[in-house]
Amino acid sequence: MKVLHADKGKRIVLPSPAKPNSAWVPILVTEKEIRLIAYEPPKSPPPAKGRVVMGKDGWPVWQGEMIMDPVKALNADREEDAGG
Amino acid sequence: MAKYFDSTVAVAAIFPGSTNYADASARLKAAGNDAIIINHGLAEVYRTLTGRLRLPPKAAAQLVEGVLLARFTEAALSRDDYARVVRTMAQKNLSGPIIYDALHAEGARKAGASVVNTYNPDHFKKVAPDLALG
Repeated sequence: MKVLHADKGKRIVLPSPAKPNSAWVPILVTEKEIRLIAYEPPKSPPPAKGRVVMGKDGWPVWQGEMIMDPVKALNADREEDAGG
Repeated sequence: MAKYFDSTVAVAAIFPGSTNYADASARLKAAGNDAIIINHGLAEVYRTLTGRLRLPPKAAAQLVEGVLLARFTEAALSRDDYARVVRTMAQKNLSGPIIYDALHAEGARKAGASVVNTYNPDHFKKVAPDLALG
């Protein structure tokens, strides 16, 4: 644990959060002690790798990474949208 | 004669690597200019392409335009159509995402489709026993 000290103006200077959308969250431990916890939001998963190409059947298709079966994905998204 | 496609078949026709691709593409080719889907189907496919399947938004839009908009005619559902679907769902004591299948079924009826192409046949048997499934 890193102990922080006040500057001459009695202000505690914190290092800037290292990443965008991160923050320091103050936790009051006792009346004399506050702990600051660095919060970083969960990372969003990277997009699927691939590209749109013209398929052999005459319409564009996705060529590349298929994260999951598309029919199962659609039904799972429906469940999620419905709060299931 | 109009052939209705729900979003499950439409999305399968976008992924040559999926187990359903050969079947979905054969059905879509056989339908020619008679393939129908409801407007909401376009949004559903885009949502899944950019959702669980994590395609970049530009690629997803390109696919929706190149497959859905280019190959399908949209059946537009009105306010009254939605109201009827909601009432029917309640009468059958059905809840949750099966309403999306019911909306597709309503679109198929509205378009006078001879057949509904779907990979959710069990759902359609509940919401649309009057429709022929492909």
